[in-house]
This record gives sequence, C-alpha cells and structure tokens, in this order.
Amino acid sequence: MRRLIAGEIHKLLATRLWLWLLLAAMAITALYASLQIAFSDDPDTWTPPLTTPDGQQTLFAAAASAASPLVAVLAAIGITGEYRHRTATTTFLSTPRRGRVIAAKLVTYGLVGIGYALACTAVVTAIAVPWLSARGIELSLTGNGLPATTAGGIIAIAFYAVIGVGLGALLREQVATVVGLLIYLFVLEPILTSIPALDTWSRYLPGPADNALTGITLTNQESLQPWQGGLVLAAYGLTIAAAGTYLATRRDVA
Amino acid sequence: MTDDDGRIVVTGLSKTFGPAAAVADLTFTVEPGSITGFLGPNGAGKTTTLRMLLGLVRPDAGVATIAGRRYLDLPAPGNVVGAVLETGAFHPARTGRAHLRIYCTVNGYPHSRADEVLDLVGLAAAARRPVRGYSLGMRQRLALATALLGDPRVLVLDEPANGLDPEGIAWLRRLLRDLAAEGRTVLVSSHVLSEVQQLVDHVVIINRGRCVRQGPLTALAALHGPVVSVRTPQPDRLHAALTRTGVDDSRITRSGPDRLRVTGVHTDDVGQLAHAERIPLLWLAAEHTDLEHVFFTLTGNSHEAAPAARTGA
Repeated sequence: MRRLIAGEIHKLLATRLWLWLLLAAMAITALYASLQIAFSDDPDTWTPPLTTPDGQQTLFAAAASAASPLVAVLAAIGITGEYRHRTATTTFLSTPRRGRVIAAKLVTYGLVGIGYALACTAVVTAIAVPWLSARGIELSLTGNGLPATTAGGIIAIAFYAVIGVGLGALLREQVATVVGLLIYLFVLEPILTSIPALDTWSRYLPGPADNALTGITLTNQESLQPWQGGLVLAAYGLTIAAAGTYLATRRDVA
Repeated sequence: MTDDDGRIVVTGLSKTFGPAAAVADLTFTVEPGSITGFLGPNGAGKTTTLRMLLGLVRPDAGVATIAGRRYLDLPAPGNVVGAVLETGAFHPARTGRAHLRIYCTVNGYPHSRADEVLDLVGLAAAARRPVRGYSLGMRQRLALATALLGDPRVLVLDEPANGLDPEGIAWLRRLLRDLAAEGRTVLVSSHVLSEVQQLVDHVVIINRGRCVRQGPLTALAALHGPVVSVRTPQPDRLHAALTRTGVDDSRITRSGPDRLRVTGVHTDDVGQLAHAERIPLLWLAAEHTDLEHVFFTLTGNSHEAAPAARTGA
C-alpha cells in the first residue's frame, strides 16, 4: 500500500496541475479573506463582526471554502485521467486488485487536501493578523474557536478529496465528472441553499455541512452543529467512494 | 526459470457483449520458450481474450491461467507477466522516463530499471521528452519497455508490430527471439499473418471467438502443401508427364507461355521426372507457401479484406 501511495504521489507530481490549482486556491482564499475584512463594517453584510469569535471563524473558514472545490476537482481529474489517457490498463495490470488502487488514491488526495488546507490557512493568517491588528482587533490564533475552524477545514477538504475520487471512479468520464462537480458546487447548491423554505433539508447538503464543520456563521442561514456537519460530509464521502470502488472493481476495463 | 512455469492455459473462455458472443468456449495453450502468434481477423475476439487473460475483463465462463494461476491471483503480477495492450496508453504530459518510474515505484523496482529498459528498447534519447511528442513507433517501444520492467517470464503483446517501420519490425523480431530463447513465453497477437510469419513458431488462429487451429507454423504450411514453379520449352509434355504420375490436372496451372505452377509436389519429384522424360528444364524452384491464403481459408475472409484497418480487434 505504501508503494501504491508513493506511485500516486509520483503521478501527481509528474505534471504541474497540482501546483496551478494550489496557487488558484491560495489566490481565491486571499481574495475572499480580503473582501470579508474590507467590507466587514458594511451594515448589509451576512458575516458577523470581526470582533466576535463567529466573525473570526467565518474569516478563517475562507481557506476551506476556497480550497475544497479545487481539491475535489484535482482528485476527480486524478482518477478520471487514468481512464481518459487509458493508463488505467497499465495501472490495473500492475495492481489487479483494483480496490487497492482506489484506496491509494483516496489516501493520496486526502493528504494533498490537507496540504492545500494548511497552505490556504497560512494565506488567511498572513492577511488577517496584520490587517486586523491595524484596525485594533487583537487576534488570538489559539483562541476564539480558530483551531477548531482550521481542524474542521482540514477534515472538510479531505472529504472533498474523497468525494472527487469516488465520483471519478463512479463516472470515469473526465469532462462529465469535473463539469458535474462544478455545476453542482457553483450552480445547483447555491440555488438550493438560497431558498428559505428548503432550509430544513438543504442544510444537509455538502456545502452547508462544510460551512457548519468549519464554523462559518452566515446571518441569513441556519446551520448544523460542527460535528453534525462533519458526519454529513463523511457520509457523502464514504458512500460515493464505496459505490465508486464497488463499480471500479467489477466493471470491465476495455 | 523452469520450462513449464510460464505456460498460458486458456480453458473454455467465453464472453458476451450484449447480443454478440465475442469469445465462445475458447481453449488453447501457449508453451514457454517459443513465440506463439495469436491470429484472427479484426473482431475475432483477440483483444477480449487477452484482456480476460490479464484480469481486465471478467469472463462469463471459463478460466485463463498463467504459470498455473489466474492473473488476479498472482502475488506480484508485474514480475511474472509483461503486457502491451494499448499503444496510446500514456499520460501525454509525462515523459517516457517519468511514466516508467511511476511503475517502478508501484512495483517496488529501483528507478534505475527505467533507464535499463529505455536502453533495451532504444528510447534512451527520447527519455526526457513528454510522450505527446512520440511517434506511434516510439509509443510501441515505450509500451514494450513498460512490459519489460519486471523482467517477466511471460510476455503478452497485442498487435506489437502496429506503427513500427520495417526496421522496427526487424528489431522487434530479434528482441522477441532473444527473449524466447531465454525460455520465456511470448504470445503475440496480429490480424495480419504475414506481419508475424517470420516471427512466430506456433500459431493459435481464432475466428468469431472460436479457435479454428493451433499448432506449429510448419503444420499450417503443410495444410497447403508445397508449390513448385517450373520453366521449360516443352510445358505440354511436362504437364502430360505429371498427370501420368498421378498429379491431378487441377493442381497444374499454366502461369506463362513456358511456365507451370504445380501444387502438392516437391522440386525433387519434378526434376527427376523431367530427367526421366528427357524434358529440358530452364528453371525449377519451390515457391514460398502462401500462408496468408491458408489463413484466409481458415478464417473465412476473402483476400480483399486482408490489408484492412490496422486497429486492434
């Protein structure tokens, strides 16, 4: 299993996609955090004041919000690329127990997701600490629930990686998988969560569960407890990964 | 490396895709130490059979074993079997060397093994270039290099001559000869017999998913019998002399004003007959047996269909 994981890391590092997506995630994190701080005094904003723990947690959760979809896309590309470039044949010849290949990808992209989470959290920290200090807000990185937000972000991103691998194993088509992921995350889910009447069940969708887990408070939305959010995300990740693994091990590789 | 631990045994293998049977109750054996041609027209079921042999396609019935075990049950398959199934199966942005090193990592071989096989297939100069710039012939060599990484005692190659120029085919022939001479099992599929005729010792010929013949290549040649070409100023006398010795009229054709073509006889027979009958001969030669004709007869394909598409079946 160690060799399989090393092989997956090797595959990932053989091209630059991981680097471009990481830079994109960091840039989006920087933009999102900057906008939140710049407009935190706007009376119409949905985010709580930055003087409160809720406000600071929401700010730091920008890291997970920005990195999660990109990690899911990277993971989906990582597995569907095997089918697209037909390297699945060589991969499954080396490792005929295909479940082990999927497991190695789950671990690898989970670890990559943790790396993304840490890098993006570093970006938020680098922006927030001097900026808030200049505004006279003293920020304690070990207090106000911020460690929980960072830990929640790491867990959330790792589960997005699992969702990406699982969905890729399920669908195999690279374009369909990536476009499907993006449409869900950026079109479908925002629509479903914007309708108050649906709120009682839309909070169980992956995005709101991610928000709950990382401690995001939005004044226009109800959310689950962090641990509930974590369980919901885990349920999505493990269900999709289990279905994807089951099909990948049974389907013919033609 | 003992002789029988690299045997490939296919027993009653069947696979149906939708309404069509791709492979039907197929049985054959491939022995170590020789090169076996796995032949059949496009769509005969060759690729499906190889994919079932290698655990990529699940058979509906039957079993295929390599060295006594199903591929899925081999503890370290890369050390036992090397396979080339698809020539385009590379990530275009990876270099040839990076591609090989990934499989070194996965299989636990040292990275230096990647450079060794690149040398072996003559790709060392292109090792650091992305695969997207490789020609079809270079991709074939890289695929072969991938198959050779684990120094396997069984090689399974699907249409390995595709995309190789005549020089490349000659090189492939030498390489596979050497590998077989070391006692390895080599199974090579092709839809063109003439492409592998100089290469293989044995043939397994399939058509519509069923085995129509297996055995040594020489036995295939014997099916057709020898053919003799002869030039003489007295073709009619020779023709008459031949029929008197029992050669059926249908086996003699007049292939020119002074030329006869006779099947089912040897040059010795014709030479001695001509001497006895005092018929002068200007030229006497054994023709190369037209194996392609035998192949088409066995697989029920017309000559016209022969040079068709070169994609896998």
